[in-house]
Amino acid sequence: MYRLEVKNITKNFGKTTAVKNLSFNCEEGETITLLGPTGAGKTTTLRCLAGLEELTSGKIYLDGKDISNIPPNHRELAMFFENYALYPHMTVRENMAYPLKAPSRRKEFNKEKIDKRVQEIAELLQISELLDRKPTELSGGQKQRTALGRTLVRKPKVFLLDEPIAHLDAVLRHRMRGEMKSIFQKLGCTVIYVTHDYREALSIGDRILVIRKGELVQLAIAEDIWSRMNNVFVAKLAGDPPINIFKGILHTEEGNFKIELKKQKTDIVFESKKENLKKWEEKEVLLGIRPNNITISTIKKPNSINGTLSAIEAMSSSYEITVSISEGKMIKVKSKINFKDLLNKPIWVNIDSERIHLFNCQDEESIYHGRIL
Amino acid sequence: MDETKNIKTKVILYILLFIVAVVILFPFVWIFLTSLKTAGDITCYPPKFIFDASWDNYKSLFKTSQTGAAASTLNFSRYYINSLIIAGFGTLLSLIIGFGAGYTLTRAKFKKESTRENVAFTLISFWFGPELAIILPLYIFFNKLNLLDNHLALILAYQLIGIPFTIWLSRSFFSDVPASVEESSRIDGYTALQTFWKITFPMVKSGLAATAILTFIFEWNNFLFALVIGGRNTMPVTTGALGFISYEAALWGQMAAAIILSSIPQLIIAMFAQKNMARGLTFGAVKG
Repeated sequence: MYRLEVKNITKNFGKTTAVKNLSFNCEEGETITLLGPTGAGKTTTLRCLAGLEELTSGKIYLDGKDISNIPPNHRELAMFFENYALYPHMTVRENMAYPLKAPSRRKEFNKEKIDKRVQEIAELLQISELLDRKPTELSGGQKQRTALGRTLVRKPKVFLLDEPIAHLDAVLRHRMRGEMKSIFQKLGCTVIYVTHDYREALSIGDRILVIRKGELVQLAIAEDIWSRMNNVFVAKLAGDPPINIFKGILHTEEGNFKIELKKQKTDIVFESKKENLKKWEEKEVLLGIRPNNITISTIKKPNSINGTLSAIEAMSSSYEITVSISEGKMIKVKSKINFKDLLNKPIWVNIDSERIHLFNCQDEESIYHGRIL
Repeated sequence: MDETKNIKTKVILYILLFIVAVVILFPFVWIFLTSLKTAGDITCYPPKFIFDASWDNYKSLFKTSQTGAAASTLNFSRYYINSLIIAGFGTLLSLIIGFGAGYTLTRAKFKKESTRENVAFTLISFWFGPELAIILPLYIFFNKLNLLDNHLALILAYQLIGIPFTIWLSRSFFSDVPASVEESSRIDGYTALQTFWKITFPMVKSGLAATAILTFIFEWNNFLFALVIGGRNTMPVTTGALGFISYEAALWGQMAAAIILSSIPQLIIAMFAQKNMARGLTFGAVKG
């Protein structure tokens, strides 16, 4: 397996910049997930790596060798397309054998070797019984496995996967998430994996590269994306329901810090030994709190905001509660308890001040993270 | 109850289909019967449906020594060969250029996306233009080149119909092939040309076959170009059949025989390629 180095790549389409000065390294055997909303430039980045798009500027190195101007058929990368891109006139077996029959690999693979390899991968993906079918006779999940099989069948230097499980149904997606991870580990592959689903990104990636408008926002391990996010964008991207954000002013009070939420007419008090917080004193900050770090009560406690419980949605193992507070603002709360009796009644939401995040009000960059889980 | 209803619908359906078949086939049957009649039987009124059939009209088409002023100038086998040469090579040229252009207009990257449509529309619009509007300039053009009554001139003139048509139709087939399928093949280790032959071509071949057949039929049936630019040596069957009407007499029987013979290649091709035609023409509409 191989190390991929991406240096300052930029891709313009006419006047629009799809990828802007992006740099990162993917170490041998590492899985990096590219996470970002629709139109963030994830797929374009992948296409640049594959050689399907010409770079406007920048370089791509594979094991130290500059591959920026090498055509896709000589890059030795395998790519999985979001729409599977199966060859409709070929059977599953022919689809999977196709990369092995390429002119550059003709010497390496004879007929027996091809059959053996296809069989091996088909068994790994549990599609052995489908080998003689045509893609039109396959279900979505089977097509996805076939496309994955075609990607895995040759031993490329790097795997590029574009939303490989996005179009599967929920049950299958959940199962494939685990399977993908174990397949990558089994094969020891270097993988670049594109997804817009933060759960997928966090569970599959060794590191997660968050991208916005073609620019790198944060490249970090899953825990850091979740608890030490660089800015509000990352905080909102990871988490469902998304993080709650309030505007407030930071004060110091008897050695503690206090955020005055003017609109909510509440103060959130927290302890911190972090000296650098002092420089934000008396300045406007954004307070972020994840829905699972908020509780609901009928009596006022410290660090509470009053509101009305306006909706309850039952999720698989918890409830997603919406609380209306002043000026039409909503707070999302994740709770194990169903507060059905309190629906449309005034309540208090209690913020766990140890687990808050603070962001700079101007550029929304992070300035403080509370206790990690 | 349901079964009787089913039978009823079927009966109605078959009656309707029969009517359609009669309407479509009647001229064809009429011409065929005419081709088997003698001159007396053809012109008699009311028309005879029962008569002594003979192949004389067909035989006379290929006889060298004929009587009458009109017949003496006729050389049907020559017209036939001319048609095959002109329509055959014309189609070949249309396909080579048209498919190439169709594919390029589908896949090539243009600086401005509107350029693609503008170029395509300009090329395709040649097809909309009435032949009559260009026939005189074309006559002068080929006259200056000293190419009148030359097979090459007709083959080139036919490209005015053939190329826009093949571009238009093949482009719609090529654009039904997802770009990602071709890209996938490129990443799998194949060059652009190998990808075209191994992936794109098999996916569009029914469509291209349908295009080829229709192009051949259009070019085979062309009359005006052959009439103006062609001449004694290059006359195809379409204008050749005109020769049966002369100052002295109209040889209806021979003309009918000539028409029947000249439609045979199209019939054979259409029958042979019926499956491809149907698949090709519905290619874009029905996706698997």
